[in-house]
Amino acid sequence: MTEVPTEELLRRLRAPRDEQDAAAAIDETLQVCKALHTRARSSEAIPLALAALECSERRADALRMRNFLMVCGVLYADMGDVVAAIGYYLRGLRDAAAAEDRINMARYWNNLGIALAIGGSFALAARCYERCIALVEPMEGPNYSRYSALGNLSDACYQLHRYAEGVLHGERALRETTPEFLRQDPYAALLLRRNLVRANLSQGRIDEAAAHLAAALEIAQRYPTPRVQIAADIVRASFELATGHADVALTRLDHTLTSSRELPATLRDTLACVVRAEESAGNAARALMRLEELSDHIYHLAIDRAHEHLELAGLREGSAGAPDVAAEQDRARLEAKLTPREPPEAWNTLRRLAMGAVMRIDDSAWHGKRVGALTKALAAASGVPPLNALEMGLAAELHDIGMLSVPEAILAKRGELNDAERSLVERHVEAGAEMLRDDVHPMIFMAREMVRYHHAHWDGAGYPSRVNGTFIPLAARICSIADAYDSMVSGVGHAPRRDMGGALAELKRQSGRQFDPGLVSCFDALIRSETAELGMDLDTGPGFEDFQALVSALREDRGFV
Amino acid sequence: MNAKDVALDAKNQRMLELLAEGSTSRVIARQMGYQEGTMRVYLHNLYRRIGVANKTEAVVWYLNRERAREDVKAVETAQHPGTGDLLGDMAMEEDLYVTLGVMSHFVGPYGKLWEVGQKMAGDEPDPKLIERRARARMLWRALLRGDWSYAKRVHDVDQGAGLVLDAPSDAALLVCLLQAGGFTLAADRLASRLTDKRKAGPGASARESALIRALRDALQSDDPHAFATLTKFAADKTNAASRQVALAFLFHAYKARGDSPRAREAANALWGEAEAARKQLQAMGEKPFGAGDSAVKAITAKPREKAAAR
Repeated sequence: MTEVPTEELLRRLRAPRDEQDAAAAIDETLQVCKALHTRARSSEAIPLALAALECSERRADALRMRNFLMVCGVLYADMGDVVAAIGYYLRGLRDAAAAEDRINMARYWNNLGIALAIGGSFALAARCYERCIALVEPMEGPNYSRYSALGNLSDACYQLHRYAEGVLHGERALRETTPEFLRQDPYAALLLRRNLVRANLSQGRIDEAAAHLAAALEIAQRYPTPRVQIAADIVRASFELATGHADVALTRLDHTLTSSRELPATLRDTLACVVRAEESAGNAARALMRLEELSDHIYHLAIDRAHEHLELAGLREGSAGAPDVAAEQDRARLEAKLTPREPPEAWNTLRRLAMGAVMRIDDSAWHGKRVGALTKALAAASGVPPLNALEMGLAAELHDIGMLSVPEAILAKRGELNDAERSLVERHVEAGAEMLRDDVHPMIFMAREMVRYHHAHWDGAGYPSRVNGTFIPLAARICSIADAYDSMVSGVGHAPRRDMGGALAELKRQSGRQFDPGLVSCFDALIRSETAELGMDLDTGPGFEDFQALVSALREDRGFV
Repeated sequence: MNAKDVALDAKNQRMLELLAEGSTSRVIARQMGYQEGTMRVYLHNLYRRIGVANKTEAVVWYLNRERAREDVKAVETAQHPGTGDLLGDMAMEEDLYVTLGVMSHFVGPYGKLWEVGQKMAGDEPDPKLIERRARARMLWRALLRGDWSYAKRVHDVDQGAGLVLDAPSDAALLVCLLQAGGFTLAADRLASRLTDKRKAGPGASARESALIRALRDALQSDDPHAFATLTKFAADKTNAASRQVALAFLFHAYKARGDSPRAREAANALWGEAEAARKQLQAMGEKPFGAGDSAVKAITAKPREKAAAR
């Protein structure tokens, strides 16, 4: 499956030989897109789907066009771009309504609901599902749209704390299910079981939940795709949480969260589960950090953007801000459980160890400290509260601790690395995360995220691959800019040293590709104002010595955090 | 004529104040810079003017007048229930230190945030640093109070040499305080020492020097735009140190000029800073006001529990 003939397909879609070839290409694309989606590689499918949509538009092929409006929506929703998804769905919905195609209208309403749920707007989502069900209500027999919408509605009810209703809808969906539906979309079947497990647990019915869990795990075993695995893990974790095994759930979720970052559509659910697990395990500070991520990257991003759609204005009434209220309540509850931060156990030892690791790539051994200072400054400049910025800066000192796992000979090698060597160097990310595993301290926890994701790129091209955009933790996005800048100016890892202005220009060139564009412009402003204050001129090419002066100015203690 | 309606010029007012403190005419003469004989003539003119026969009657007349004036002021305040800006009202009547109260620990150099930051970083408390912190907090308190003479006293110990050496940013703050108190010569001399120091190691940062200049410009000129640079510091989101210091100075400067709305604004902004810091401390699991659960428990413990504990 890795060798998808995308190039070939794209060419055929853009310039088909004849009518027949175009139709064939579009149909093939549909299969490829489905396969990529199943394997959690929606981002690769998007250009194909867009080309197919354009091709069918050109040929005025209404049926295929409607199909691809749906496909584009599903793919964008899967990448967490709820707004784009809603745009495509609305176009499709209007089209289907004009053709009085009730089946497709129902499918679009159902998908709209899913997109909204990904963004956390469950009240809106529930209304969409209800419309879908109303549209297919008169139809007899098992109906896929109704089955799917009922299952989704049961989730929305659970999220809105209407548990009894959730169980009811879930059971209705279960009655409507057929072996064909299960084969067609095992993921939906698993989600239905997940919803039933959670709704039953909330009602205190452990036995029913256990039965649904067993059914869910059977599905997961039969169809082991990444998406299905994530959902199965969450079901198991939810069950473990309810039965008092928070620590087991946490270990499981650690892995789940890592895979979820590659599959943005599942991230909201996973994060919400992690917050509950951390809280049950008594790690209020860590739960709060996850909650912060949940509200920042999912609620604000998706809900605010979804509300920009005027077409949804009618549905919006009475639902705006509901998830934020829930997040606020969670936050207040967690804050009450916090204890004052002590420095992590053996903090100084860890620092020295990290310094030792860095010495393999940087002769001055201060790479970690410099990155720490820059990380703290950038975090503060981008609006992170001072003490959190301080914590990020300290944690960032450990970001290359995993270099200890890389053979020294490879790091000492000058010139290009071959593939095997490169993969060994890239392993420092996972090795570091492993070294910092299972530490309850929030600062080490944050350091672990930085270690794991400081080579992830904004466009998903870094490693670990496919993690992209705001689904990379904020701390790691900040650390990656600081790391790259210091590496360029200090010449870490045999690279030729660049002057401070040149390195800044290079960062800007990579903005939007390797780095978060918002943070890059923030960093640019920060370096400009700090150098101006020290009387340096970026145009005259200040080098490593000036950079060291800048870093020590940043590290100086002037009585403020 | 009612005592409170008699208009007095500054000289006569000052003479009465000194009399009420129990000063002899010789002391009054020295304080006000007159010969003793001249002073006696002035005093007699004053007695005639307010219709009293001697020093004692003059003091009684003066004290009655002050009380009547305060009563009038109190009634006036009661009739105008104010702007609803409780903090601003208080800041205008008292000083910033009293107004901020315990919240003053959350702003200024080496405040509570700094303390927690040190702890988080795992840095050992160094006695020298603790001493430095205490000195800086005293300077900050003087700034909130508008007690410029404190700055002069600190300066006079060693002309600020110790501060320049150990804590350049505190020395920069001292320069600002001296300027505000009108001790221009001392301020300028200390500022130039700081600049010299910078050539040989860490001195005042460029930002601190700019703040010193901005303050000097604001104090020396009557131009309404003179506060522009200082205001810019007060609005700068990136640097808490210069922002908070600038806000405190802006408050005093506006208050001295009688620009009450702006002074209130500055006081409120400073409170906002303190409140943000308090919130941040709470979000990090700190108990910003110290007393944890144990104190509350001790108060609410039932007699039986106490007995059991015994």
